Formats: sequence, C-alpha cells, structure tokens
Amino acid sequence: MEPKKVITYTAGHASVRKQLLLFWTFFIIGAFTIGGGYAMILMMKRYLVDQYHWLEDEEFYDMLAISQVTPGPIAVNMATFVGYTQSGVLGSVVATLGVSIPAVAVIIVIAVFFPGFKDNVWVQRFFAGVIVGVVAQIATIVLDLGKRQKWTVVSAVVCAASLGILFFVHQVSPIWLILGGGLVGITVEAVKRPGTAPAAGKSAS
Amino acid sequence: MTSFLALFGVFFKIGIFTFGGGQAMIPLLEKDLVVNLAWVPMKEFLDFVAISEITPGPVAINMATFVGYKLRGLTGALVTSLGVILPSFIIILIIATVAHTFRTNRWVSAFLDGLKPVVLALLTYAVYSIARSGIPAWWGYVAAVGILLLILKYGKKLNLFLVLLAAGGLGLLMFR
Repeated sequence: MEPKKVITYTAGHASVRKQLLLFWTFFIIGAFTIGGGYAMILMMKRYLVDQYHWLEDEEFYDMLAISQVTPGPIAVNMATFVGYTQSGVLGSVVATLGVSIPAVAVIIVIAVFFPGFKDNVWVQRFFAGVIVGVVAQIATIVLDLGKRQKWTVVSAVVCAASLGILFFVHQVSPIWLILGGGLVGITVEAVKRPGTAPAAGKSAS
Repeated sequence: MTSFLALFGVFFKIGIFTFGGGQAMIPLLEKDLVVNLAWVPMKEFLDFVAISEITPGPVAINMATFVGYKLRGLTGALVTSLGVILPSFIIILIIATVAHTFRTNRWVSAFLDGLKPVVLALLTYAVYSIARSGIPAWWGYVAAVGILLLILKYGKKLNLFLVLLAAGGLGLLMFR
C-alpha cells in the first residue's frame, strides 16, 4: 500500500505525498501514545492543528468530544477522521494503519524476544518518568479546554457534578456521564425560544 | 485450537463496546477472555495489561495483539488487532462522510456543547488518577508541575517527544 518509489509529475503526485505524510504523522503519534489515550491529546493537537492545519481548534475539540461517544481508542478515531477529511477513504485507511502499526509491532517484538520486559527495573523507572511528562501534558490540555469552555451556570454545574461522580462514585462508566452531558446540552437548546437558535443551526436549513 | 473467526469475533465485539478510550476495555476483556472463554489465565492477563500500559500505542490494540499472538501466532495477532480496530474505523468513517464539520446541525451542536464540560471533567480526573497510580515519589509531582510550566511558557516551540524522553531519562536517574 505504501509505494516506496517516488512518483513524479502524475495526477497522484500531491496525493501520494499527502498519504505518506498522513501515515508518518499518525505513525509518530501511535509510537508515542504511552500511558493511555489521553496522554497524546496534546501531541495530536500540535501536529493536526498547529503544524499541518488539518483541523481547526474547534474541530479538534469537537472530535475529542465525539471520540468519547464512539467506540475505540481516541487516537484511532482521530486518525480515521482526519485521514478521511484530508484524502478520502484511502487516507483514512493509511492514517489508521499508521497509528496502529507501532502498537502491534512493539507487542510482537516483546512477546517474541523480551518476555521479562515488564519486570526490568530500568523499564519501570523510565516509564515512571514518562508518566510525569504525560501528566503534565494532559494538565496542559485541561487548562486549554477550561479556558476555551463557554462557562455558564449549566456548564459549571455539569462539570462539577461529573467531577464529583468520578471522584466519589467508583466504577461508573464515562459513557453515562457523556450521554448525560449531551442530554443537558440538548435540553438547554430545546428550552431556548425558537428565535434564539444559534447561527450554526440556521445555516443548516 | 481457537479459530481465527472466534478470535476476530471476540475482539470485534469488544471494539464495538469500548467507549471512552482503551482503559474502559480492560474489565470487558477480563470478563470475556479470562472468565467466559478461559483463553488466558488471570495472572497472564494482568501481565498483558501491565505491559500494554507501558508500551507505545493504544492499550486496546496492544492487548489484542498480545492475546492473538499467544493463541494463534503472528496471523492471530493481526486478526485480533484488525478486529478491535475495525468497529471504530467503520463508525468514524460513517460520521466523517456524513459530516465534515459537526456544527451544521443545531441539535448535534447542542449535544457537543453539552458534553464539553464532561470531557473537561474526565480529563481532570485522568490527571489525578494517572498521577496517583503512576508517579512513585513526591518529587515526581514537582517535576510534573515544572514540565507543565515549561510547556505553558515555551508553548509550540517545545518538542513534546523530547519532553517525554527527558522525563523518562529523569525517571531512570531518580526513581528508586
């Protein structure tokens, strides 16, 4: 699928380069997603929004929200979506493969060659250090999202209630919080007077 | 011997029901693989989880590769990985073809606005729970705050890989 030869001056020229760029970008994102899906949000934002402008700020956070209500790892969701919007179905395949291959490859290497990997003290120390960096990166995203949030009484209550449930009620699936938040959003929209529908709603019709 | 179809089926099902990231999948996997099907003993399962969390790539794909490889070798690993990726791939592809941007529909827009504060809460909680389970010493918290300030100060000029590698190096030197 990944042509190694350089194709010049054909109709597919730019497109092949774009596919390779998509593959490589998501390969890097996949290779550095350590410690769970939330860890790489900041890095994805740097690449997808700031460097390549494949997504707007707002779209990125929309996609992050959508990843919470659709199944599957966030990085895979992001890869499929960005791949498709940038270069169609082939792009989505290429980007999804890119983000998945490091995960598959590293586990096969460990399973074949390093069965004692997890118990190595240096691996454990390195990982503990990486987690420190990961925590800082997620905190950066939290601050950015908090700044961007249009704070109203309702959204503040929803946020505080979700936090309360997460901290004090254990074993609650995030999907219920997500759906609850979405329902609150729809309810708020429904009780608004019809004349005050947002501009985005009008442009659809 | 486990058939490829059974392997694919189990991970496809898990791929469909994993909402909110890979960690949410671990209890589901445990129920299916350890309890119902008895493909993997509990102790080995916990090892898989521990390794998946410290290796690159989404935890869901790491786990799928592990189980597939254990049961049916390389082909098995590819089958399970494909199985766990396909549901989210298909669903997102459908969403992407329907809406290049989500803000054209009033109700979708309202739904997204409503769940933004929840996402914020989930991420805030993730900071807390990852720090609590993953940072072994007090100075790790100090270092995390230091790195946060660095990122805020230097913003886009800071290479995030190098930050992670440096943090890992710091861990090699300092954690005991």
